[in-house]
Amino acid sequence: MFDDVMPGGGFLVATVPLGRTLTREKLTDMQKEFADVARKFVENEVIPRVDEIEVKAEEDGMPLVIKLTKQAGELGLLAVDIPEEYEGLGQDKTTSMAIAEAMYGCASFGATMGAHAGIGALPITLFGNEEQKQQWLPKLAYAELISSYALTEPGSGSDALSGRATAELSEDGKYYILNGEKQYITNGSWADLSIVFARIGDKYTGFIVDLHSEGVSRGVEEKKMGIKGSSTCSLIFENVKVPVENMLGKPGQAAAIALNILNLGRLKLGFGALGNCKYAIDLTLKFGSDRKQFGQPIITFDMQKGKLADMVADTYAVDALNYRAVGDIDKALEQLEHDDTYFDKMIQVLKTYALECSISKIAGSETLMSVANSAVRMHGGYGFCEEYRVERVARDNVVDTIFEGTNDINRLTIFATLTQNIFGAAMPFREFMENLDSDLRNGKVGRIDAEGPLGDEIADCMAAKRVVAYAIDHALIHCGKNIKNDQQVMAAIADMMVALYKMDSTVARAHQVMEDIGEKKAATHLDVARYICYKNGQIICNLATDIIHSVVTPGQLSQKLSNLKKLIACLERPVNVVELRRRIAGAIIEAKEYNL
Amino acid sequence: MKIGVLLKQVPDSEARIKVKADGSGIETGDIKYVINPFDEYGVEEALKLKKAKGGEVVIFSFGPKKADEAIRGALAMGADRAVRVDGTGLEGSDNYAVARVLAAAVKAEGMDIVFAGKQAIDDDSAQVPQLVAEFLDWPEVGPVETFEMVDDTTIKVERAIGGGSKEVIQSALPAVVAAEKGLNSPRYASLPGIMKAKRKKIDVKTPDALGIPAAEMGAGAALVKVTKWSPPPVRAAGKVLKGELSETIPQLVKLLHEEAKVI
Repeated sequence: MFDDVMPGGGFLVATVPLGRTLTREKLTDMQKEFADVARKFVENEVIPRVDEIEVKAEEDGMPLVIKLTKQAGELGLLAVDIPEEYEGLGQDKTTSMAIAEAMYGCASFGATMGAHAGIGALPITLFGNEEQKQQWLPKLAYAELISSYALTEPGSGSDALSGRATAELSEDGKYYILNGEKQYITNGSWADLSIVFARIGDKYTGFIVDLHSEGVSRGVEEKKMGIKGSSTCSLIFENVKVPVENMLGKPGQAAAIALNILNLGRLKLGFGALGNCKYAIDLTLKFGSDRKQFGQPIITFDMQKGKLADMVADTYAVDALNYRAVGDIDKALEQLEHDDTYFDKMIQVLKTYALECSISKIAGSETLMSVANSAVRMHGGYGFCEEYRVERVARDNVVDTIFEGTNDINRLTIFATLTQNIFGAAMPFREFMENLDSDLRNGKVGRIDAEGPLGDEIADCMAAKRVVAYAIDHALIHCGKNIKNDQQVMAAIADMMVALYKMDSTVARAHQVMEDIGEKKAATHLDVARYICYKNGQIICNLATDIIHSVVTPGQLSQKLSNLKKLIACLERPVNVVELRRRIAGAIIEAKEYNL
Repeated sequence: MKIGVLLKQVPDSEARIKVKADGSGIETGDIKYVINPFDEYGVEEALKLKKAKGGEVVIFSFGPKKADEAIRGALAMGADRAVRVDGTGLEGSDNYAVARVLAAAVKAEGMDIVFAGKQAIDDDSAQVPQLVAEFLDWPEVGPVETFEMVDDTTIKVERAIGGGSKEVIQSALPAVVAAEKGLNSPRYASLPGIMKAKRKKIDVKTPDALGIPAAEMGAGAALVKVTKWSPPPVRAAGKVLKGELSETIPQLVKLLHEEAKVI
């Protein structure tokens, strides 16, 4: 086994990274203080006004949500990622993610800020030249100007690089003349500038466009299912003169900009979803403790406890994997020398973590979807009424599975990155499989021996890795190059990777907590780790079985299935899941809040 | 202008307080601590005054190292530096002793005005501002709902005196001003403020260094001794009167008169 976890899915063939992952417990005092400021601000200034935000109320001559964004800007909440040379705070990604997590409770506000500080400003930080950074970043850092990001077009959604907007050099060579239409632009109606992608001939290229220029018009607001207080509209460019010095990066660099920006955007989305999961849990706990039926608080009914335990455990797993991913990214970034090529190197690092960022996006948004769904149902009829906050959480969350690359596109990203690293030998997959095959041949398949209160869960993770690797190996062998047509298989592989990353990261975090505060105090962490391993182990076994059934030729099927069964047998052990769920729920009900 | 603020670190008002089994205090293990909310109004007023008149804002606090968290919070809001009085054998100091060392610290720094919260939300004793003023031989006004400078050495404040009436007080400086809720809306610490606060200075001084013998501090020397802590009694369940209105109304009147003794 390999202790070194390579980015891009290396956790598949590595040991459980005990003591080697970042967990929320290891955040620095300053990171916690920053997150506290963010939390306080949202709690006191934003959440009380969420209804006004939803109807796009105005105050002091500007949309309320923009006024609040500017206030958040004044507090420095949007300057975290911007380097100190450009008047930002130059903090690491962990800090920026911890803040994103803390700003839960009003997704309209979250989307507005995210489009500005994330995809709206980050392209300039990462790809802008010195003059562009000097010109724009100080104004974006404190939300003096509001930014946006314009990639999608009516005919170009998931096929993101197929846009048809054009940029033609003017005769005097001073401008690019921009023509085209961009669609679903967050902050579209009120942004001052936008990162716009357009073709110079066949070279798809990014530009920084001043949206107050002549020839820019803004479409009508979309009527959306959720995040109703954010602005989403089209931007239409008719012969807009964009100064040549506003080209971002080089001609033809759109792909590099667009896809790399999305990596961090996806991770941030995962963190935002994490915050909202905790919010939905706390709302449900409060409601379920106050609301009595049949003479007892509804949260104390066994079926509700079961749901609560799922909400809590799944949220814990997202927490563990999010911080692990950003911790690893920061560790890699810390190694970089701060020279002229720093940002190029940073882009390379982010690229290597594309798979983990996609997992965070999928795990975060889909966990929130199930948590919010349970939260609504546990509120009964009240949960269906707008007056109750869970209703909004449920509506607002839907878009999380769509923007920053749909979750389906992210599944393809996971698959593509994984196979690239397997075929490119960036991860020692072949050696892993050789060991596995030799154990199967010699009849030596079994659970590993691991010590301590989480020994069984560590063994679960290692057994699950073998199941996943076995299924992937057969999918690749049997589908070969044709696998591009087998998107269902690719999705199943991606889902196994998500489930595995959840298990692996959860066990690592719970283990860390146990080392820090002792087994007794960490009891709920350990229960959660047990449950997450059981639950995701089941998911993995089912998906792997599906894959083997689908990809293996009939002649080989019984032998392959019997091998798979041996591997799956290593995951089978007695776990009283009902009792486990009761304990997890009981602890959270007792604490009166999600406190893990 | 040299503007002082007295500040205490207290348990968050939302913290779940548990009294220790032996009644000697509260369980402090998992409690989140914050700046005493009333003191936050004091910090905000001090910062506004500094903006108007220039000078510096100095935080004064009596407490252990942990109190630095709250002090840093005030520094992050914009205060310039802090003095924390700490040392061995100070546990159990009463308000009198605390006020005495705080007054000595204020005197050593030579302040023109000192703001404080009207009381700390942990023990709610509401004595320290007055005592500090007494030890300094300064006037004290509070709890104030408004604050303004009449001229460079005179302040004008308002305080509620019941029945909706306000008392308007003018005082010469130096003075201690105790803040009431609503005096202002305290600003949030900004992120750059938090970063700067890490580099601001917190001077730690012992009572001895301030001219007050350690023997006159702590539980042994306390004039007021806390003998025991106990949680407030659990509220008994309410009564539901059942039956026709003609029966329940007399019952209710009877209970209000005889049991609740409110009518």
